[in-house]
Amino acid sequence: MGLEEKIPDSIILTTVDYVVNWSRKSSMWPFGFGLACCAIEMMSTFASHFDLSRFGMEVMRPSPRQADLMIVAGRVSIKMAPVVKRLYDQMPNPKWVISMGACASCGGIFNNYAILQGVDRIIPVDIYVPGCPPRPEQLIDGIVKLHKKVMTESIKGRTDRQPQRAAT
Amino acid sequence: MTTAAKTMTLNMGPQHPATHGVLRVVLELDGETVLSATPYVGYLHTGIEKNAEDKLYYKALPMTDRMDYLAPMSNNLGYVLTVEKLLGIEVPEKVKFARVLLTELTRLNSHLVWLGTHALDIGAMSMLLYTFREREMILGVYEAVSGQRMMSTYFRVGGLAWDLPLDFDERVKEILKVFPVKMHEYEDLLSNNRIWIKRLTDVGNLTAQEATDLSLTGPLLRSTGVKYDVRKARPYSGYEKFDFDIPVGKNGDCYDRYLVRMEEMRQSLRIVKQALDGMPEGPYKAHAPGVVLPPKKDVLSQMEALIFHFKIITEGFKVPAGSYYHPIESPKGELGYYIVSDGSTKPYRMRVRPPSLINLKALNTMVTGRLIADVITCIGSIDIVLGEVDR
Amino acid sequence: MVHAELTTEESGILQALTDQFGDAITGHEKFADQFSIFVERAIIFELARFMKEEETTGFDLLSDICGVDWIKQPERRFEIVYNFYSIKKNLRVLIRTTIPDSDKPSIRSIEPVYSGADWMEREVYDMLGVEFEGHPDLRRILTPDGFEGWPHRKDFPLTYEAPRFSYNKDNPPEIIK
Repeated sequence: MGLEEKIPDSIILTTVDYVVNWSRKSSMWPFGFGLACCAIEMMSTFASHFDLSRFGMEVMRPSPRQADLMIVAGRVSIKMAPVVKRLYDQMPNPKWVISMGACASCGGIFNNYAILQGVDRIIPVDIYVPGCPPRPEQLIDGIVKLHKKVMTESIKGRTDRQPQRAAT
Repeated sequence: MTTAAKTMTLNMGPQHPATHGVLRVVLELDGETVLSATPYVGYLHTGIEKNAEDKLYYKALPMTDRMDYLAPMSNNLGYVLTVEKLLGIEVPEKVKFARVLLTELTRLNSHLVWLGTHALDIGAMSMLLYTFREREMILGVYEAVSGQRMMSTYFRVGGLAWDLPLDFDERVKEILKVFPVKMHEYEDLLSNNRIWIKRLTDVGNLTAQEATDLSLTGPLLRSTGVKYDVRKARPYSGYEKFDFDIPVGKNGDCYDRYLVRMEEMRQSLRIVKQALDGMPEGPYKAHAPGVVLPPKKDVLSQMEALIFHFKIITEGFKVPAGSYYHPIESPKGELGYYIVSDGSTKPYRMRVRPPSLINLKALNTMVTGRLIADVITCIGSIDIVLGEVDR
Repeated sequence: MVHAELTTEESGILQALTDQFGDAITGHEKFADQFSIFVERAIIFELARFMKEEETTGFDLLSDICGVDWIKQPERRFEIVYNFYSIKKNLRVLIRTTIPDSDKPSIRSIEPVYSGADWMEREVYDMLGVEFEGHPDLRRILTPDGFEGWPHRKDFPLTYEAPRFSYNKDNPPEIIK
């Protein structure tokens, strides 16, 4: 919103926080970054059997400038890694990242020269969803946990936006 | 002062809603007309072929699922058939029928996703929701058979992983009852639709000569009039016992490819019915002591079965030296596995002939001189899966 | 060399090739309905043209080009396998050539004859480092631009990272293999 950087630290906001967080979590627009097999399970989650629009998320924005939540679904190869970083940088604040699947979380079954061992080496991740590929119910569980995490945030700014592990 | 018309270079980047994954196409444009389209691939390169050289034969099997992730059982089938040929193992009849049945369900699965995403690109957005709803039934069969919705790895060297479950018959009969009605619905929506016909006819034409020159296979080649299907040319896993037709197109444009794939779906249903009706009784694994795991009750009571079980799991089985190329007909084209063995327990070289990569080369021929919207149509009509293109 | 029975068509093709190229055909093998012919690498372009255009052969589909690295045999280190298929006759032949080890192993490209060989040869170049002379646009296709090394060679390590646990988080093991 822009105002939050100007609020001095000595002010506590409770009800404003609640309302802002509630509105952010109720209509989080995903930027479905479907790379490989997990993308197909993500598409199944968006389809009518496991409906994701009950969370307000049926608008899957193809452009990063209009999205809040980046779901990295699939294996990230080292040729694709600069592209992922660039797209993450193009997303406006506030933004969240779900790393879906084993390959995005830790490299999965591919431990070799071509796959980045976990997308958290280049971008900070909020929720990791394991599975190969995770069932739609698992992804929805991850999204619900993310909603709970969003409700505990404060609009004064988030200082933990650093990549978890230094890339080696 | 003379001015030459400059062309514009447009990048359809790796992240794009209509490129079915991470494909990058660089277009040279003169206004709205495309002068050339160059695909750049490799954004999903996983090094599966190199990684498989480091694993035992049965451990490399789950990696093959993840190549063409829309038709996972086809990939498994190709690998398993090649290794069985190198070993010289004959599988029982029930295994052949079960493999054919599940592979044809896989073909249905892949064509349903193709139809949904292709229609979504062209603008018919509700097709995606319909096809994914039908697909849930097939995924229910996969889950009943192996426990996993997509990457089932149900086929093993020498047979199947476990016996078919008890509710298998009912689930497949449900599919056979529901699908013809739904396919009629899809054709009702699309086949005689004026917008669909205008967007697809005369777009992306290929002649038979160009298609064989470019080494295209699968529905792309069959839509130009060349009747080549590996299931009829060199039958594998008992396909010679089934009665089905190969649909062939005439003009080689996108509409013909759509018709060829819809007809292939109907023929797959026909094969599934024949396989279900004629499924024989029998063992679900071949009897090959050093290669195939012995039945569990023997492992718990006999000493040699226990020793074989232990040795196969820890050391793996040795495959005699040699090399073999086995093609199968995957939904995308001719998927071939060329495995070179040097007599040890790990494959020396596993080469996968990727039909999607070789078919993608035809994009430049198909869109030269056409409009940008036709590029999207053509990419959808080639039906690529980036996991297989990049491996 | 495994010698099972050759069918009449396969012997016909072998005869036609030996008549045309003589000594450059060094042998043949048949393993369980797979017929392969071993040739020298110098004649590969003329052989490809002969396979496509002559009546006796008529192989119109080039299925696959595969490269194998036999690191323990430096005088025939890189084996390139060309997979030809004839749709009319339903016949498949594998043509195998070998390239000895050197700084720049190279072979003539068959892209002018079969245009589908374009990307297959680029992939063999990317993975093994074999150069194809006469190829219109030989550059890397699957690995990133600027990648150093040829991944499918046996002396290129898999770059396998050992997993890090909480007890060795502060001095992790180095990248092995």
